[in-house]
Amino acid sequence: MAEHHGHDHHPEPPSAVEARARALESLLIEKNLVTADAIDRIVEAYESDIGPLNGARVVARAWVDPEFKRRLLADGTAAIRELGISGLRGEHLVVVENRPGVHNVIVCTLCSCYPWAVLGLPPAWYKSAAYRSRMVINPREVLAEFGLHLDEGTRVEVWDSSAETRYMVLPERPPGTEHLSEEELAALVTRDAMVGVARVEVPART
Amino acid sequence: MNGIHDVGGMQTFGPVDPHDDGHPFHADWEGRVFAISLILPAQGVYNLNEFRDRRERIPPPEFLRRSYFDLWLTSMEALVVEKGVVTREELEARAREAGARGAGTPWASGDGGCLAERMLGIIREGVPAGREGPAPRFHPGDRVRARNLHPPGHIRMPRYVRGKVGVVDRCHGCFDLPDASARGRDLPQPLYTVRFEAVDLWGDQGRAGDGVRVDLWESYLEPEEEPRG
Repeated sequence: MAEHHGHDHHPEPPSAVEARARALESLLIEKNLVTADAIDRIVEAYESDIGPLNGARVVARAWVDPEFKRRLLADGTAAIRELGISGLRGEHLVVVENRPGVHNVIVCTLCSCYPWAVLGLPPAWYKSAAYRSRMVINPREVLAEFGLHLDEGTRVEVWDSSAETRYMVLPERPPGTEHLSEEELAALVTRDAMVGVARVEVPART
Repeated sequence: MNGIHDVGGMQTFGPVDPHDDGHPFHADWEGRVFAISLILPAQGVYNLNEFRDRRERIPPPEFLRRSYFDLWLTSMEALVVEKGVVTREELEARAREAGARGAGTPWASGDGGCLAERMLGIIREGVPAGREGPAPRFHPGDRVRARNLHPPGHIRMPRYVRGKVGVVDRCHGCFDLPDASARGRDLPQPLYTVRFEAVDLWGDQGRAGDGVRVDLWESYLEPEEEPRG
């Protein structure tokens, strides 16, 4: 990161890994395989446009429209397209529904597969070895580290994304939200709830 | 290849740090490495399974030392050298030059061209991976055993299910077998989600009733009753 630019006479060297990234980028630009413009636009898309607001719209629609929910659970990819949502790592989307007694959670033990089209790029913890290794063997313990404590009677279903299918959790609609509009509901839905490491909560009224 | 990438079931990585600031990249170079990793497959330099395979062959001490996007960069460096796009010497010389300039040197910019539009189209529309292929041998409800495979190359079957019995949850149609795809060959096969009982995977560490689902290609599976071999 360029925290000290401006000190022209004795600039700090970039980190070794940044120097390697610059080397690869400049050589690939010279070989006409990559353009700086394409890099900028891709970074911008994933920093600004593609994120969990997409998934939140899907969840809110499923909560207010039972027919949409049925289609979503049957064919996630086709259903999100109805809302104008599609894209890379969302081509084969499977949406799994949380309900009383069944809690679903998503992981990728082999790398970091994640439904970019609906949730954006994954957070650091999703990519961490701690999450990836332990979610399949000790899911209740890991969920507790997120502050999610499940009842004894609730089954945990873990989905290990080992292929090009991508999974997203449809969280339970919290009680007391009957009066909320679809937009207001979408605002309650968090990325963590759609990965399955949190519930959707209603902010306490004061 | 049984590598350090395949961590499912390990218990020694400590607690999860759920802290997150919502930003996908934490340095400029991370975003640029990520973007290049999308462009190179679109340009036909390598496919996703070759990329995964290359990453998985990084030796464990190095794998654990490098950061997430450094692993991506390391894999891409190796692939572009192996594919003859650039030489290792060119990469090293260019990195020395970049290192000699100060941090904060502007990154390359501008130029237009159609690659940016093409990449945005790919990001928006995706690249469906479904293929035409053989009819599925297994059906929802079938009991199947994950075969005890340990190939010297790429495989997308986590070690923790190998030899275990589960139930077919659904079939997704055909997708290229990653093992073959990593070697540049197309071999479409039915892909299944298989549900394993947690107690069958983890013994007394598993909770009765809990389940773990894994997506597995047909050649990773055999009927439960078939003799093991």
